[in-house]
Amino acid sequence: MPKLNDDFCPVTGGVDLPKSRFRDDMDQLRDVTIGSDLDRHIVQLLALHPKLRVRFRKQDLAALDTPTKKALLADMNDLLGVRPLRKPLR
Amino acid sequence: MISVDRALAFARQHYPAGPEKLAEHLGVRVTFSPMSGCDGWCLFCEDRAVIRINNQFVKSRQRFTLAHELGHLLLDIPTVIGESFSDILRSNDDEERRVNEVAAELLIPQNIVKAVVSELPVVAAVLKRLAKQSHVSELAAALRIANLAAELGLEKASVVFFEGDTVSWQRSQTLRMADDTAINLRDAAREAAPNAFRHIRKHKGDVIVASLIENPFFGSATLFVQLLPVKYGQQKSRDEQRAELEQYLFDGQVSFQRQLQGCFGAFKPRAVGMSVSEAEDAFWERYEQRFSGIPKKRLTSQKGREYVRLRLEEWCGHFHAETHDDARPSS
Repeated sequence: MPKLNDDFCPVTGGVDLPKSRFRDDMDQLRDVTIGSDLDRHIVQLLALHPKLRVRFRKQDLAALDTPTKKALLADMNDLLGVRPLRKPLR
Repeated sequence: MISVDRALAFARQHYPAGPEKLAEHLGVRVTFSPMSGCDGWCLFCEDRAVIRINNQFVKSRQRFTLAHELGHLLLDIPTVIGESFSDILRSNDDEERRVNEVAAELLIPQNIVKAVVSELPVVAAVLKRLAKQSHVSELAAALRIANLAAELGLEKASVVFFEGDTVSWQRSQTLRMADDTAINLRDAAREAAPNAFRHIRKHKGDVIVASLIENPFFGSATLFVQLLPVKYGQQKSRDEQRAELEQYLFDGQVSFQRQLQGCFGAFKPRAVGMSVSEAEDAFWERYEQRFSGIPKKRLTSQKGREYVRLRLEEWCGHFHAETHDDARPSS
């Protein structure tokens, strides 16, 4: 199973982020087992939004099927105000 | 966000629709959809929240999930994605326990439990009545009573859940028993149904009382076990008295039973606001001549009059509006 460890690579330059931008439960989030791109998307979105806090049973998303994960992502997007930039192509 | 105390007070005001009204009051968007591996979740961020409930289960289970997720929101404890109903009930995690306490109070406020459980022992009919009145499962009602054991005057209480013939789990803050003991109690309670099974322990001066609610559709059963002082453990509950009297009155007389139920149904609106003795006088004046033969003989016997009085007490504000102080020990 791929892990999240490779997702955020150290970089040089830029500016320091304020502490409020970091999750206090980042270590837990890093341990979540990821089995698909959808899982990765969910966990990355959580990593970027410290105020949105959830836990995963047994640190695993495997118990959920794809429609359930999509519903979870839709609820997260809705809560965070994330919307598509453009209308989908016809 | 509203404080927990205010939220609970709000839910009490809107009982039995406390959780639904609270979600509406807080502006929480509640969505119902099919899900797998999960009963629901609550996501919150700053002052916004969304709750999603798995609608593939029965209504009472969905209500429990809603109350549980509201508990996460009120206590500011992150939801656990992938949690199922049995995970929620079985969890020993301190945060989940606190969330469950809030959820239980939202669904069945303590004042309601005390009003419904107005005498001891707690029998299956009381669990069913509390569940029906609160729109929750009998299992949730049993757990609520077990968690309020001390407040209700029960020495100890436990809920054991069976799937098929095996003990799936048991939940109690005061009483643990071996699986074999639970299975023996279940078998004894099944035999004693609709009455509760009683076992007096002379050396300890208490009585074990076990009531069983079976759900043949799901092949599951809920066993409610309580420990009571002998005085309270031995007394027959009103439901047991009623069942016994019905057995005597209606034995093989279905049409008589229906006719009498019809009389009670028609008389009920008149009885509201009357004292029990006023209602009794009015009932006999109105219905005594309606019956003849064996039904009349049985109905006008001492047991028949006792039965009518028992039924009228249910509506005349005598019984359910207040607790019978002598029916259970003071907590």
